[in-house]
Amino acid sequence: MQEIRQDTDKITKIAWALMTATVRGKLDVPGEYVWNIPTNDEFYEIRSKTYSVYSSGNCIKDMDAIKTIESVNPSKYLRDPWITKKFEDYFPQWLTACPRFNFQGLDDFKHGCFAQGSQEYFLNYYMTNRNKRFRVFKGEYWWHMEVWKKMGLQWAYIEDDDLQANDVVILSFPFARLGDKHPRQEELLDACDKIGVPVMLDFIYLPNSTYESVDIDLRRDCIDSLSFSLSKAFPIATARVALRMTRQKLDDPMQISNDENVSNRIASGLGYEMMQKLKVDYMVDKYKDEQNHWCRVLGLEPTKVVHFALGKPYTDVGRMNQKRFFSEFNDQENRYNLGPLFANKKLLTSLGYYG
Amino acid sequence: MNLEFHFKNIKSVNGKEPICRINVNDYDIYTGAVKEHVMVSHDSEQKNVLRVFFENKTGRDTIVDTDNNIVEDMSFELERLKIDGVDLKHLIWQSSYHYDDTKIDSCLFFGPKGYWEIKFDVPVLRWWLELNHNKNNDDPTWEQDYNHYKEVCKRLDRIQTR
Repeated sequence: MQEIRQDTDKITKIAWALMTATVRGKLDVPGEYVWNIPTNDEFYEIRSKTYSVYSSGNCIKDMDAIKTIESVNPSKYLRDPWITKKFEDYFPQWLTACPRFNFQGLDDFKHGCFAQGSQEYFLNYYMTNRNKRFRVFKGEYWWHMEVWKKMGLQWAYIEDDDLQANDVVILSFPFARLGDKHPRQEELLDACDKIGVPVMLDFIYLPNSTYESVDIDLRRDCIDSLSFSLSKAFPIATARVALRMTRQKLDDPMQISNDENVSNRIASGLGYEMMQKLKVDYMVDKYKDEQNHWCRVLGLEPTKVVHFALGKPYTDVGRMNQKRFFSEFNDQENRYNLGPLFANKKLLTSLGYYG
Repeated sequence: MNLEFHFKNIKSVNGKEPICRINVNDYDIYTGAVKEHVMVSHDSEQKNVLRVFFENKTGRDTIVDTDNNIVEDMSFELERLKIDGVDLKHLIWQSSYHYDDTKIDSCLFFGPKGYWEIKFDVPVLRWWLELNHNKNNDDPTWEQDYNHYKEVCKRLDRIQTR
């Protein structure tokens, strides 16, 4: 099989172009593509920001989705006491309407609870399991490790130690760094079932997954909760719209707030309307061909998440510092977020970088 | 070429203010009071010598006490220099101050009557990056990144003017 030849030079030029265009107001879809937005167009300012252009997991800034968001009047939901319940009830219908997703056992997870972003559920999970040891594969969402370290919670990579009875596991599917199922997922779930280790499955990237058909078996005893989010499906990450689904109703702070009916109604309403207006795999339908195009042009390998590709670590190319962004645990530098390229097709075409 | 000087600690004596003369490649481009912020423009060559002369200092501008300690002295310091928008930052110290037959390296203080001198090439950014790497050996991709930056700026400028 012929090896894919990565065009790092072009990848780098595009990163420079996007960051410089950000400052000069030339992006097709303005907005931040990384955590660090350049404040001026001087060399060092731009360069420091180019390193991280591809490293986020952020949603595609699709202009039509943005227009849809802007058509919503979320403030009206402040006076709708039923909106969070509507959101929770509608989410599984919206999710399972995608004929490519074959869930088994989803109906058992009948307790939906609005979460103010996946992070709110993660925090509740950490609190509930604060006396246990958290376990993740290397390349899992860095935020977990960053919080555990800073909060002094016990944790270890799955690769570094055997699973123990006092462990709890968090696993993303598709897996964060790979944009596909982790090769050891089934092995891990078998072990969790055997030892009785609870597992939270994080499905944040599922709406953007390109599998022609995917079986998602949730019938295993070890799987105790599911985390879903609209942050990658639609550019509403900062509105914090997410959902937890569990077999048993939990009794943690998030559920207490939900029962008190003080969940974020603006976020619930926005999420509810977005789901009604755009289908779950909206981004996949729209950008699958673009993913293939850019992978061909840049010599990258498409993943099963439409806005991700894999390649050689971009920031390792001659860099001596600033390789990881925001967190020492953010080691996703061989995963390329193509979203900024999709969203700026016109600009990149004008600059001669599209083809 | 645009030169942007930032001076600090500008000290007068008996109402007399320091005056400087800015010279590029033996052309005087500014003579006047030393202000906190001085901006001047001049054509550049590929290799350039920039000098700032302390124009009006005399022996009477340094006042000493009976023990010969300086109590007042007309003087100023160069704090920052930008050339074509590029802040020289720490490389501003790659300069020297000359007075009488003395040369002091890395001196930004204008005390004795004399001149401060720095040599640089244009494009200034390219010169800066290369010199910085040569001194610190910490920026191996400077040339590649410089080329990316120039190319991207050029392409963006082109679509701006359409």
